[in-house]
Amino acid sequence: MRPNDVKRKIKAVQNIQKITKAMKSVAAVKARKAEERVRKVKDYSREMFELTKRLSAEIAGFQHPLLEKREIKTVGILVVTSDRGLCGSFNANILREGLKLYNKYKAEGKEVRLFAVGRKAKQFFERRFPVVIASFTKLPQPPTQAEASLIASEITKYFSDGTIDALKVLYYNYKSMAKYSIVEEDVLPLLNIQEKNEPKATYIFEPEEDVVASYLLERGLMAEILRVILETAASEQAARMTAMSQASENAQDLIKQLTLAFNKARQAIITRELSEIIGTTTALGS
Amino acid sequence: MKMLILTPEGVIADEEVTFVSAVGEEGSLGILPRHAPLVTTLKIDVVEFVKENSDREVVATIGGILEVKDNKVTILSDAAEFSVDIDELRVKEAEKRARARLTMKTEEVDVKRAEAALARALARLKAIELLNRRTGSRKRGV
Repeated sequence: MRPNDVKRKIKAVQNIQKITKAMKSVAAVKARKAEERVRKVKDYSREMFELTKRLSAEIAGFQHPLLEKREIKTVGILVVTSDRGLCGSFNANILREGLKLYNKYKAEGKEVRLFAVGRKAKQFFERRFPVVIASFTKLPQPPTQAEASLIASEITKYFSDGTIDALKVLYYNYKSMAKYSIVEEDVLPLLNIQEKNEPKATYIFEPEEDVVASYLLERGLMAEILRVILETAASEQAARMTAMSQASENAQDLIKQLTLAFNKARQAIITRELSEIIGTTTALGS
Repeated sequence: MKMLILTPEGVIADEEVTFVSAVGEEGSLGILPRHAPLVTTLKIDVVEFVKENSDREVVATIGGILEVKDNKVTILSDAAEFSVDIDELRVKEAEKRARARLTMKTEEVDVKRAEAALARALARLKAIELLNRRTGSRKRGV
């Protein structure tokens, strides 16, 4: 290779490295932002959950569509991915888990309906199965209440009209920038809030108990979805950060190798030219 | 008594208070210490409270639920802002937009959404107005 070709290659790799480094710092900032929001929504959902638990003990024979336990014929799976790539195996891993879950329920003879969050899940599943009934893409970073409400209301609609009898959610549980893992959670029917206590009737309810309880359950579901999409968003940014940091390191290695190649090529030319000069002078005979 | 206002955007207020007033689905309520246990859903309106040093604060709350228990008031709202943090010009713009959308009788207008937007704008304006009235009276030395 000619030294100039090598030089051009080094330039190209250096430019790529600039981009990967920039993407890494952007991802770090976005991850922190999403992490902050996760913490806040957790405070909110914890209070909501506690309140719902306290009140469910007060309301005798409380009924709500979101609590209805049916025989499970059709399972809904909500798979949360990202809209964008360049985050290593982040999406591939969760999509593989989604596929596994799909096959598992199919093998049990159950129908499956899919909800896709993120462009990656939509593309992956729509190409394979005609069972994606709702997809949500182009979420802002980090996602907000508005998106969570939209997703929650779609899910509520399909659960209430019997399209699905249960809802599983597959998402990334975010612990820290270095620690996040795929988790499968049962979300509907909302069972964990019901406690078998005798009604004590100590609270004054305004308006009726049912209205209050429906509000709590609906907001509870929204908060749960918001937490799930925020945690996945935070994990996505963390994964991107790692991937981009890896890419920057690889670029550095490549630059090193190419520089070496460049020096060798240059040295080879100099040596050749020198030996030619020496050869000519000796040939001319002094 | 303690008062906590929480939204999905985090803790908005966590204070020791002597009085809380809010607008519930079935009417206004004022809560003094040692109020009986109560749960109510809130309208898109304002919550006012008096701190222990008698300072009054006004918060615009976008719906929510209020619980009183063991001398503690917990408000879980979709969104809440202190009146001092509200940008009056922007809210007035939002009000105008919502009203304009409601007067247009075309099919594309989502009436429910426009009404909700209007309610939010009005709640925020009310919060500003209430605060101005209070600080105004304080300036006059009352």
